[in-house]
Amino acid sequence: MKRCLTVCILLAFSVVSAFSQVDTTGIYADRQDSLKAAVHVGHQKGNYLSKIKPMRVEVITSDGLHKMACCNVAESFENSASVTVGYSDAVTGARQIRLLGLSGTYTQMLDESRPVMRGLAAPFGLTYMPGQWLESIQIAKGAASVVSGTESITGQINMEHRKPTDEKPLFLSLAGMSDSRLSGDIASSLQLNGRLSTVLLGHVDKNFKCYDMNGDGFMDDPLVTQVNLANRWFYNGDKVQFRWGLNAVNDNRNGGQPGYDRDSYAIGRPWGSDIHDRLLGGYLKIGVPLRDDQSSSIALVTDYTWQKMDAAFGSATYLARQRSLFVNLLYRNQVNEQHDFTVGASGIFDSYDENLQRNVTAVSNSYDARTDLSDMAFYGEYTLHAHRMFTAVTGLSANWYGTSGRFRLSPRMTIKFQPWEQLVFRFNGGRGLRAAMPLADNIGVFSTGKRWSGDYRSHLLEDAWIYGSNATLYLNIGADPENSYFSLDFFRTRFNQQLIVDYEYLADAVCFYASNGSPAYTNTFQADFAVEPVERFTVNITARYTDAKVQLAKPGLVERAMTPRFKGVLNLQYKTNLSKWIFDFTAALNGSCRAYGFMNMEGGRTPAYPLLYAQITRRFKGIDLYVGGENLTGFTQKKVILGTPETTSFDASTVWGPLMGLRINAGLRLTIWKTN
Amino acid sequence: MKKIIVTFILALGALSFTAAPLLAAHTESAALQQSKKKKTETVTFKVSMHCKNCVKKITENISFEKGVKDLKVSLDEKTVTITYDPAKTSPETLKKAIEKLGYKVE
Repeated sequence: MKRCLTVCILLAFSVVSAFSQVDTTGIYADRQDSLKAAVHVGHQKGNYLSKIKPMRVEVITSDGLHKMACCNVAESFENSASVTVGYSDAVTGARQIRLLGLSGTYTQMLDESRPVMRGLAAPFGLTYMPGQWLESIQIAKGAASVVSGTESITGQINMEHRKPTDEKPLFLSLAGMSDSRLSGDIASSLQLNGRLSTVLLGHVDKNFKCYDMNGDGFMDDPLVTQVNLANRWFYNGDKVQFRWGLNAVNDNRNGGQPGYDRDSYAIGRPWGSDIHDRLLGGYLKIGVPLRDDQSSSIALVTDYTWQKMDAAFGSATYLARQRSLFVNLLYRNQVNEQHDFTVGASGIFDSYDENLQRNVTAVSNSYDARTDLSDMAFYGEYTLHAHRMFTAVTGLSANWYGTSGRFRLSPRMTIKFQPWEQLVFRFNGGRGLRAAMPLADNIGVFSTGKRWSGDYRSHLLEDAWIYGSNATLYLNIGADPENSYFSLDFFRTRFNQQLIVDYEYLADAVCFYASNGSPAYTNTFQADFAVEPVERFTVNITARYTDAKVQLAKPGLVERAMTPRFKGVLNLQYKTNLSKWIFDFTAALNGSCRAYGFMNMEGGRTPAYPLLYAQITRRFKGIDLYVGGENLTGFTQKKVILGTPETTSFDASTVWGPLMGLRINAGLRLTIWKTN
Repeated sequence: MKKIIVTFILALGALSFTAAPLLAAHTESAALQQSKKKKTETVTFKVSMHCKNCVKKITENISFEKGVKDLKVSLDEKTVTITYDPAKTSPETLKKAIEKLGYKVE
């Protein structure tokens, strides 16, 4: 591993030292800090660190979202080193992200500042958000603002959609993969009059054939049929603004051994999974400016989600329904250029109906129960700007957890110190709290033959502190001196209370238990380097080291299993003049993880492996055509399925590497702009 | 592990081979542009744009107008500067193209 690291670092520096030129980019999308600069066409960066935000925020722009054939938002993180994307298991196709070395369930997902992908939506939520619907993604590391709640522990990922006010009456995207997967997106933004506008969004995704490239008798990817629809509205009145919208998802996925039939399943017949998920949601945001310059306002944000999951795994069935309501009322007042504060009250109310029928080795895990959870909070946040040099954001949230009858305080603080233009220091810390969803958070446990033991029904209130720092040095080199930087991060997350899912305590069981203050922590170090050595050629290099440990019942304090220690990403992009041709190349090196004992891996660790991606895009007026390749080396995890179904040795959830080999994709994007 | 390191080095090696001609091509294209610059002309328009979306709309459309060789858009100054081939287009045609997008052009 050390040799691997050394080689990577040496290569990184050799690439860096090979270039010493310039750039001048102005980025218009989401870049308040460069709006004053003249903009050369097509110089929008794919990923960059925000210079103006107090927190350490990585932005993936629409340009970055086009670097790969992103059918859904999970795939858009493939070229980000901050976020790692993996599979929860080898059966369902559920994608799971990791931020700061911890599962994505500790990262709060926001849809334009509303919490989404919660509860039952957590395992598949990332695949329910079409990448082509999005305008940008912001990844904030650390203890985020209390305004959106306290569920974020490792950070927040906010997704900005295509806007009703976009002057694009038609956007169409069609993509095909060599594995028979086809996806299509449509978006239409219409301005009905000077005040009212709407955007209609549609997405279909289907693969027609499944492959078993490693010959283990299980399909590498499930057969999926997904349809998503959304309609968003914006009304811009003189004294009030309304935003509202609806969305619906219907997803069917069949994985496992070909021929699996949930109705006629019996031991000895093909084993698999059959999941039918339906989701409906609606939201309303009302904003009332109290001053003409909008420096003071009142806002109400409400969101309702209904979801029904009907899942079968072999002989087990899990029927679940979730109804969630989020309400947030806030008042913001920017007193002057130095002082700014927000106060508010919010509530998240979740109701779950769960029916589980699961019998393993004569032990029943079955239950039928209803659970109501509530989290009500009063919060305040104060921002101090002392000249351009110093910004401090201090927040405090007082939360009442109705079901458990517990009261918790969540303080959070962010400091940004910029002693001079080229150097930014950030410090961040705070407390995060969330109710665990033992089964949805760990959907992979359904793809094992082990019985479940312990608190797999309780919604334990997980409690963690995170603190970290970032230093970013702007290097003033290359074709874009303002956006060439070297950045270093360190973040530490420590759990006071965490739901531990232990695969190792018993050979025939997955054990669920509370950490109850025993050590559970993660330290993450990350270095980022970005430069545009010559005009329109961008280089991004990232290296990350993760030290994640947890105290388990039997082996004691150990490295968290299936958590890669190291990841390195090299991202190159070249655009010809006026962005008529775009060439993208991404190389990632994923480090090894500690393997579970029963996986019988050499040295007890999984191997490190590379992933290569490339894409060429040709742009015409209103039309982009692209062809690309994923996993160019064709590396796959060979032994994905352990044991045979319905035995205690069966396990399809120990996924550490790619399940699919080389895939070629091609597609087109058509944009029609509004004209006179 | 050795295999992985070798694969990674080979990948980066392949990349440098790709990057070298790319950079060379860039240098050549810069030289070519320099020689072509003699044949191009530049015009600057004052345009009634007001937000980043206007910038995007103009760049995404005017870049692909016939004869356009380079484009700079400044939101702060509300200007669009176009370098074009006078044999293929004219300031009037370019002005009309911007106006067609819904902007006033001076």
